[in-house]
Amino acid sequence: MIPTPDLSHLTKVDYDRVYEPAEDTFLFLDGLEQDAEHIRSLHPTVCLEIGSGSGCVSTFMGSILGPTGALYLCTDINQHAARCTVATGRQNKIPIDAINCSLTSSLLPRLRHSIDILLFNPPYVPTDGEEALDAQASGNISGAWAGGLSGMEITNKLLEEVNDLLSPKGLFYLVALKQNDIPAICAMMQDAFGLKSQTIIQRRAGREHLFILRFERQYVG
Amino acid sequence: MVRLITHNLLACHAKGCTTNNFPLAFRDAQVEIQEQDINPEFVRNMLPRLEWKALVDAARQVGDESLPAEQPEMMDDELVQKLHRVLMEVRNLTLSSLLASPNGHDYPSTSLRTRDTPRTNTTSLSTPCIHVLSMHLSPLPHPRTFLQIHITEGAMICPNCEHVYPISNGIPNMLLAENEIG
Repeated sequence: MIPTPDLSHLTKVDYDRVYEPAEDTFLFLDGLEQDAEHIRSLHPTVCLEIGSGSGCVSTFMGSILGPTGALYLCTDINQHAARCTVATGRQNKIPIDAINCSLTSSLLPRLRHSIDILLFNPPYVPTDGEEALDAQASGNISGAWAGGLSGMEITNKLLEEVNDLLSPKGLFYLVALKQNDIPAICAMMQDAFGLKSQTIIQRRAGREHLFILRFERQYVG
Repeated sequence: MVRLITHNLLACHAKGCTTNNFPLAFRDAQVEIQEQDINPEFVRNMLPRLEWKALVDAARQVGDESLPAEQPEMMDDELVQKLHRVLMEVRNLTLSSLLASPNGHDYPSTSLRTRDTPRTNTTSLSTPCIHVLSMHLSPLPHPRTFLQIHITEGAMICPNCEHVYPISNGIPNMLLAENEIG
């Protein structure tokens, strides 16, 4: 079993500003652990996590592939989160390069078709649309959960970029809620980009029914 | 951590800035060195995704002259070592010359050295001012343990629109104001 990253360096003050790992995070770790052999077999070079928050997930990916096994890039619109991400990597001896930016905006031109592992635990909670955009603009903790209409406003922005980001062998892992309409997400990715999808793990946690989805390119023959 | 490997992947994304927006130039860069193990396979796999000229120029901005201007066709072990130094570590000519320690094993015990390069114009992009503020050097490098270049403070400037992206606590701030988003 791959241990959960040590988060003992983070305090309540950090969690006032940065999303504290919870059931969704731990389901994400369980899903990645279940897929660990498959991930290793692809020999990934570049991993990118969007909205890395505490840094728990990318640090865990670093445990799967080893500290020098890949480049671990993280972005977060919340500057405190970017700092926590680096600190969590350091606490667990995984070098993480964090960038304070929205989604992938500063990386997309240079990382086109270069991401081998793309990770996103988005703000998926349905809210009204204004709330999601305001939360992102504020760069604070509400941006970690406020997802707008159907909880998909921020996720949809990234879904448009996934095909441009993924390398030929790339995998994209997404956390989603049942209310996000998972069949619709999968159908859109298939129809618009030819990316096939699979639910790798799911769990009910209180009122939330959480899914970890994996997307990859479809090769014929 | 703004390592040169990260710098090589960041481009200006301000509204309307779509050409000559890479690489960003360092300004007032403070450099810190940290240990990093080498993984030759990673370096070899990463190279095709990097812009060679941008990497060589960035390395020279922080004082490392070890890479050839033209990308060699053969990726031999020596080149992998050099690339690792530039991308991940710093036991290189810069440190050697800074610390007067050509073999890289005879580091002085001091933990703080400062070097100021001449600067004639504080806004000039072509003469970035590099301060090597702090170096955490082990007395004798551990086998397979090397040192890393991190830009901890300073800024990166777009060569086209001159947008300034600050670096604070080793984290680049690539956020744009609402009216700058394309």
